[in-house]
Amino acid sequence: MNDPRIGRREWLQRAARAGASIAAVGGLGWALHGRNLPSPGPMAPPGHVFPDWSIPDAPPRLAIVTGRDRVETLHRALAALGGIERFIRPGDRVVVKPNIGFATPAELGATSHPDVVRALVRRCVAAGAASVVVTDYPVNDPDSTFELTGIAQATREAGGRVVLPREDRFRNATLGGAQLIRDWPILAQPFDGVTKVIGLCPVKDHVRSGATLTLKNWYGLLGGRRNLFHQQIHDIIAELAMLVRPTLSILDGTRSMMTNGPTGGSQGDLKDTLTLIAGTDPVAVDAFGATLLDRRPEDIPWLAKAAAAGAGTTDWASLNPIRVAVD
Amino acid sequence: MARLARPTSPAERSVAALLLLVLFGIAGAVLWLQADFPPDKYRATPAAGGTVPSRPDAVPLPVPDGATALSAPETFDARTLADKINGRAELYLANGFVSLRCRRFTPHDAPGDWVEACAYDMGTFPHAFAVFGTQRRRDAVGLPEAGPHAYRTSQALFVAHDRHYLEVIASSPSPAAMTLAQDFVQAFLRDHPANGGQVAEASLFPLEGARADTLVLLGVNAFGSPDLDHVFTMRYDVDGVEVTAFLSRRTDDAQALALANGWADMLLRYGAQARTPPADIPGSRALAVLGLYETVFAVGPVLAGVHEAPDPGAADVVALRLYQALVAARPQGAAGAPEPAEDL
Amino acid sequence: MRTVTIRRISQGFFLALFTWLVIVTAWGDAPWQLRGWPVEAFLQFDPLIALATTLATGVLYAGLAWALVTMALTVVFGRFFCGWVCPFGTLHQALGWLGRSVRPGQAVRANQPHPAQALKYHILAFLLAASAGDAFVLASRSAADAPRWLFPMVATGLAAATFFALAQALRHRGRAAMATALLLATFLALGRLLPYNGIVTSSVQVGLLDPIALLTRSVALIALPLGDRSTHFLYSAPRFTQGAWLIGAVVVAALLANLVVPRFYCRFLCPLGALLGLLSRNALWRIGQSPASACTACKLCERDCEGACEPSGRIRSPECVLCMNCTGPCEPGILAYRTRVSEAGERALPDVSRRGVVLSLASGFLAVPMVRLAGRSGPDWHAALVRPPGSLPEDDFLDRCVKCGLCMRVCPTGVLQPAGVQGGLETLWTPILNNRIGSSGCQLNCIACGDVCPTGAIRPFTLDEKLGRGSHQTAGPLRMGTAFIDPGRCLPFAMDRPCIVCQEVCPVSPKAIYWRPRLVPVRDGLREVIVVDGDAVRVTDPPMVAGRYGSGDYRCRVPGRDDLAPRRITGNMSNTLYLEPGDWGDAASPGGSILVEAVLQAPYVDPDHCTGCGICEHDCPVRGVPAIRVTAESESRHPAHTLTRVIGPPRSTP
Repeated sequence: MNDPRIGRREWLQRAARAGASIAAVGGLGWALHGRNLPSPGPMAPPGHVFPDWSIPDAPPRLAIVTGRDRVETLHRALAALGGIERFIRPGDRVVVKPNIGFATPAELGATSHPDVVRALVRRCVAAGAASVVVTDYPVNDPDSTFELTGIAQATREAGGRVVLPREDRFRNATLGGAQLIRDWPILAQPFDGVTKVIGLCPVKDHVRSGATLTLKNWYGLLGGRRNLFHQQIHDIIAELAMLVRPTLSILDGTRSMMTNGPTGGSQGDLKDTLTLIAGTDPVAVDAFGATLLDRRPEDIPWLAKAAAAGAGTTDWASLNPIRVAVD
Repeated sequence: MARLARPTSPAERSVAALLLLVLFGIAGAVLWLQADFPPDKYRATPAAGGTVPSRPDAVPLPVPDGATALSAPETFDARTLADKINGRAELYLANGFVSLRCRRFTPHDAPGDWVEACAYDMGTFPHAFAVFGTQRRRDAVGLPEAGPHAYRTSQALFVAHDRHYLEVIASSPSPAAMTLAQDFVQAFLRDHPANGGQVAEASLFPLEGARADTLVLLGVNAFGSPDLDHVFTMRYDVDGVEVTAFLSRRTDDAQALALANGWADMLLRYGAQARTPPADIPGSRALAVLGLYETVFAVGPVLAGVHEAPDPGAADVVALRLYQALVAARPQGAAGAPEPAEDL
Repeated sequence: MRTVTIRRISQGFFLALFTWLVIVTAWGDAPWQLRGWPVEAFLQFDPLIALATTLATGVLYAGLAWALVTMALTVVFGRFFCGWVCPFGTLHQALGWLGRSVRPGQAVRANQPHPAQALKYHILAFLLAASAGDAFVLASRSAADAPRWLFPMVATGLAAATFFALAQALRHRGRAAMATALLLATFLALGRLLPYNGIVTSSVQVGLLDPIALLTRSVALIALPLGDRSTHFLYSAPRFTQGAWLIGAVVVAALLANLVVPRFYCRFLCPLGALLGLLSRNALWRIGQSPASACTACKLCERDCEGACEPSGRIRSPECVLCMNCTGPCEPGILAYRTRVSEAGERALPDVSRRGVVLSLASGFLAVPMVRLAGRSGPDWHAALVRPPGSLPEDDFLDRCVKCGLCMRVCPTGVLQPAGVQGGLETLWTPILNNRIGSSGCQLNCIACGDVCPTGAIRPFTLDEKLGRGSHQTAGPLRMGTAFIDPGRCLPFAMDRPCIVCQEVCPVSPKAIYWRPRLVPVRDGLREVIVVDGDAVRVTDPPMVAGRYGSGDYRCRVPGRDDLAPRRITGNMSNTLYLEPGDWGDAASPGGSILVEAVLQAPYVDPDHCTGCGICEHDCPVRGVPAIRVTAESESRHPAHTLTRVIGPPRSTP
């Protein structure tokens, strides 16, 4: 220590270290220095969120089957449209989107009936579909809703796969030409690589929008605080009609919820309307479905908006529907 | 505790001096910084009681050659005008004021001097002319190089030009400042070529006895009457007596007549005495108010008269000249002389 | 001049400068107002604030780069900042001097090193680790996303470094290897999980204890409002500070502690001092003895030793604040500030166990996810957390706000107030709007808070941006929240009393508050007529409050006679109503009845225009709990908090 040379060497080492640390801190500080503050990320670019799943170059078809057994009427309706094979080809990856909104038993008619889900998934599997996914984003807690409605079990029995609406399965999307579906979370991941989509919905009263039919059923693909859209319910349903162009729309009006929709809660809200509608034009399907609720299509503004958006026609009779009665 | 302090070493002393210098430096830097802020930082155009759409179209002000701008341009709108010219704002607001832009300049060759240029956008030339004329200074000297409606005083220039009214006020009557003021006016006129800046009514006044540069437009509330607007006045000299003549073009004959009667009736209500109207002016009415004399009549759609003449004879002389000029100016098809108004 | 004297001058200078800068933090261009005064300077030269916010955000924001100067000077000269600049340190030193013992022995004992001096390093570790979550996520994410070859290389390097570090720390190679493997596995696992779980994140909490932020806050929110109560120089209306007791208690406790141990805060608590102590490790100049053999062990050097760094023995250099109080009294004159290491040896590293530091780091790192799990910056956001305009989204805000209180000081109305823990523990002392306490709500034409924020937690914004005009027209105004009317407390709704103050004071254009007429019969409004005398009508009991109905907002009509125009009431006594002249004929005659009605203006809020400025809440005559209150709905910084999704013009049909 008393040797000045040692002191000097020690000092030089120290100076080198000090210089190095100043250089390191300064360099890092220089590199990281900036005035940039986080700004909201870029909006999801507008465009097609989903492909068009309808069968190309096929004239719109509509089948109206009356009967008490919803499985039987489903088979008859599919047969009337030319068989499930017309829509599902071997190797197709299929999504069936039932209405699984509320954790209530199937008998209360607030959700799609598990019997018809089971039958439909079976038909798809039998037609050679590579995968059949059943998904929805319920209003109530997803896990319990899928189980309580019996739809999870029905799907598994039929060979389909239940996909729960996990947070990471939503993607922010902007629908081209849309005013509401802009940078909004959509349950999109279950539809990745899917080639056919079937909408399946019960016929229900809906206080705000007039009726829950197949087009309203796509509300289940909206994530986030979607209840904001109740301020513009008819516009959002029209945009949903632009968002999803399904291969097939099936409306189960075997037992319709006439009042207190969309949850109902008592058998008194239900009425045997004994009709199942299937078709490739969702607007026409829903326009006829409205009549089961004793409503005219004109009474339901979103139908006209969806038609104006090019999703189909409200004049269901113009499609020369095939009518079948099952006894 | 008393202990003899060790004497400070020279090194210690110089370090101390250095550190003191550093502190002085910091103090200086802080003092320098506090004066360094954008001039309009605390003068950002506020929204007075609401979100006012900004006016990117406020009059652009040229920077004359040989001068430097001392400040950023300030812009005022109808809501903020009173902040700039408190007290006079009403005059401008009553005359269609749109915006005001001000800026100060200093000439390169006389850095101590400056001029402040204020350009009022009044919307139309008559509005600009109205505020120009009503504020004409006593020591006004014509400024023909800036157009017919321009004058200078010892320390300022005033110009009505197109929809603009300019006030360029110098910090001192020095030649440098006044030259800069003139340069600014010339640059402004160059940047804003006039399109339509004439007062049609000016030609209706008779020339005989008229005093130069006394044409004034009273936009609203002329002579204290809320009914009288868009009234032009011009001053006349009748044997050393100054008489103010006025005229105002109305929408139709009936309105002109009604206003003439209304004005006379109002004076009567306020204590005026009727006097014999000049016989040569059909339908005219003449009054005396506290030793001042009024005459009012209508010629077609034009309301006209004499206001606050100190002498009844001079009032009648000017009224007659005005009447004859108006009759002469009427289109031939309009029956030469105005219809006698029976009910007057 | 002696060095100690110059040190005292320097301390006085910086204390005065600091106080002045807090005082002039007031919007305006008078010399005693903001002008161009560098009011954020002390915060910007503070390396702890710079380091924590940079760790949390990845950006060394704007003027915080000045902290690099302090860092570099500290690396060269040691903790000069603590002993020569820090205004808080100056206050401690002054108070400690007042409280010191006159007996040299006792004074020396008070300045002996104490094991608790290690505490400040643990506080530093905790605070920095809490700030580092995002940096860690970023590192693990880029590790996961890096090219194939890069990641193994970096991982191997890190693993080796960790192993050697641990081997040295644990003095056991086997355990070190195991710990390294464990850490590596954890890192790899976290690298897959962390980037996407959204819960491991940063929270900058250095402002709680950083001496500059603490003192700025205390002067701005406690000392100035208290001191100005009698002078009225700064505020024309008395200024209040919500939750003042806690801010005050912290600073008063910190100051009084000097009477027990001099520089208590600096020695035991100050995280900035700890950081500077670490930085001073390689200082080129330092206090030391030479020759050590000449030391007489008189200990006079420690009588006024500010840092308790033991200059008489092996000096603890990270604790030394360069007060220079030791060099003067040294009898043999061997203590000096020089380039050589003390011949008596020195302890260059703080006296902390590595184990303890790891513990502090881990606690800080883990504390943030645990606090965030409460969802206060997520779904359970607190409605009262109405942030100043220009505030960043809550997560980003908490990455930057150092609770210095400059925004609250500069706020012309005092509506900006230090929050409590409504929005979670982390929101303590961050700025929120309290519309009751200030002299008004957020002023329409004011941009002061964004202008002074040193860290960008409130980003700088222009008036055009705030008002949504000019190029910001499409984005609309900056919203802090939305006003909601409470009809149960609103006078026209709940008590049939005319009011509509909120609509009057609403500053935006068009007004966000509008009214609809509300016509209601008053209580006991239907009365039998006893006598009619001209325009006076005497009616039956119960007696009315004299004058109640004369305000012009009440009128009278004859029930069942809709053909008769109602007549305004011009005044009333207990049983007499005076009506404006009118012609009811004998419709109202003794034995008949009349009805007294209130003509009210009932306020409503238009969410498209409300910016949440809170002026309505401030001026609501229902003062206890205002009948119109602003909550954070629709605040601009969180699009997800919107109440309405405004749509454009109708779509053209294809």
